[in-house]
Amino acid sequence: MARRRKLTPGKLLVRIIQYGSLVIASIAVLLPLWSTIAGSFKTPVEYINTSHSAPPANWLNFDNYRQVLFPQTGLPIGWAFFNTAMIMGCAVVLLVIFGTMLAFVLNRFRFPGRRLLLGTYAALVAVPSILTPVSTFQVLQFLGLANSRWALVALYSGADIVSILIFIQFIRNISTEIDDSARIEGASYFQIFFRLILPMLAPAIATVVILRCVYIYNDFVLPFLYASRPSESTVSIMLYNFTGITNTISQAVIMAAVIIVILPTLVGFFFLQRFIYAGITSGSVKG
Amino acid sequence: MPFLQLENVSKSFGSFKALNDISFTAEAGDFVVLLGPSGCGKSTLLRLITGLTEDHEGEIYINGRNVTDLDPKDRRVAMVFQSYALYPHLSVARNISFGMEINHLPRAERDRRVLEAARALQLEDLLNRLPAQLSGGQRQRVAIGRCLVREPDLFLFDEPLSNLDAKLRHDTRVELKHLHQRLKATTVYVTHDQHEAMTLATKVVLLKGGEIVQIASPTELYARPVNRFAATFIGSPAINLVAGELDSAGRFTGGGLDVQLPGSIFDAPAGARKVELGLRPENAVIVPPEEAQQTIAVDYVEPTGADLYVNGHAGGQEVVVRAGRTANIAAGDRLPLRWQLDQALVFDAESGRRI
Repeated sequence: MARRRKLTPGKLLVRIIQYGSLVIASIAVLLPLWSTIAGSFKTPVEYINTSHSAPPANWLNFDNYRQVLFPQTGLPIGWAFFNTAMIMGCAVVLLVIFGTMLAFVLNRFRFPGRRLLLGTYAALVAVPSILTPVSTFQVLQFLGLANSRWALVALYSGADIVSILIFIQFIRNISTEIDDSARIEGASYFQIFFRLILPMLAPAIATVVILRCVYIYNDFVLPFLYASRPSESTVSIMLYNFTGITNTISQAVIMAAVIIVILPTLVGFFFLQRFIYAGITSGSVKG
Repeated sequence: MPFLQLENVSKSFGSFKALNDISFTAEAGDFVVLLGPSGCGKSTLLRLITGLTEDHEGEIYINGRNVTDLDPKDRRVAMVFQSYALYPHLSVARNISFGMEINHLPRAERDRRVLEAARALQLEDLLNRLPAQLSGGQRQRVAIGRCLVREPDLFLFDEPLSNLDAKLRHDTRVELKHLHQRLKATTVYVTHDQHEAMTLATKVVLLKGGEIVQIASPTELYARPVNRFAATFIGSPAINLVAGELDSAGRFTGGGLDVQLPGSIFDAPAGARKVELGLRPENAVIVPPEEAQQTIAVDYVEPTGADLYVNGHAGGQEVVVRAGRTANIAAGDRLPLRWQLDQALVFDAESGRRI
């Protein structure tokens, strides 16, 4: 029979501190979530009169959710989901095409200015984002994109240095003999890229898509600046509009909206966690 | 006209001259091995033949066509790469048919050729697998299959065995030899491994520093190397080189040896000069002391299974000789030897050329 090692008072104290701190940290994280869930089922009057941590009187009171999903005035939250999904879809497709092509060219071809090009992408990271909105807005206005969802598509689809480096890292590990072999077999550079390199980049693409989607879903600043009209608003903006402008909406309704906004990310995380872990570690382990 | 012909091919990268004035020919069905130490330009030469590396001097002809200015795809060559370069996301069948898909061959024709190649290479059961699910030898067969279906004029191999372990390397080498004997495909094969060159080639092109040292059959290369480099590069353990003097009568003295060399081993009449006498380890015979030409002090003995390689020294020079595995030899022994001098090679000490 397995013998348990004796617990000395000193070790016991360490254990208590360890587990105690973890419990406190967990409560700090979970309590707001709990009060949000609980609040989303409360009636407006109940919400004001009861404590934040108190459970709702009726767990089956879906009035708040109904009001978010099918409002009598204004746009339903589904519209914001549609906007966000559309922006995400367009931006991610463009990002993958631009990013992988750029990485392919930078890694496989030798031409003057190659390093300068990559260096420029890297240097742009160092420009504080607080400096750019005015000029960005002017550019978007010039392009006729200001105050529309397409402004966000344009802004999100630009390949950033992180995505490019992830792609370059992967392409570097694909032997150039693959390219040579295909060239001898008669493939053009486009065929080599689309039929061989792009499919082989699938893990890198998954990583970049996940990182970018999380960023787009959570981003508040860019939609707030460039696409703030209600009909153009993303999920984050719609949520913000619930809180700010109209005081007529009960806090309980906002709680319901928050829960609805959290749900897709939770579902997405459960389905994609394998890729998310792989994506986060793949960049760090290979150097 | 020969099937493959290179005429005065030179290639520079910047100021570095990778290949200098390379000319050789191969007949249809030849198995040409480009052999040489790393950095001798053999892989560059292969890439020039494929057309993957551009811009060189000289002309290249394959099957009567001047391909010098043609793109790789138009040269009707197929290549097996060192890494095999299989497409990891495609099944074996798709790997083999990729080139035909690119070139819009009808589906029925593609399937027929894939099956034919799979049958020839015993890949029929593996057609639906991915490259990652194959062993090293199987991957190589897929790479060869990919070449076969294109029905090329010329097969090219770039050190295809270097990624395999010793046992598999031997088996695959045998397989390649069989395949070549069956298909009679004209082949150019790059390696730095003398065993591969000796066992596979019908013709060896020995390269050093971007220049051709010797073009010969494997047996000729071994028996009559043109210079010291060729003699030492081929043979394992390496040939013994005994420094000494040659007099005008063909008598050699040095390294504890004082022997009359038979006139038959000289290509040209040799005058008196400083030379190095090349003696292969297997050309030594252990004899009773009174018959010995040379006695070596044994330093250590390497048993290889079939043979013993006895490492020793005589007259201040190191000597390796091959002895039977039953010979009772130990470090510290003194070993009396007679050399088969009709197999000896004589090199000019200064130029290194064989006399």
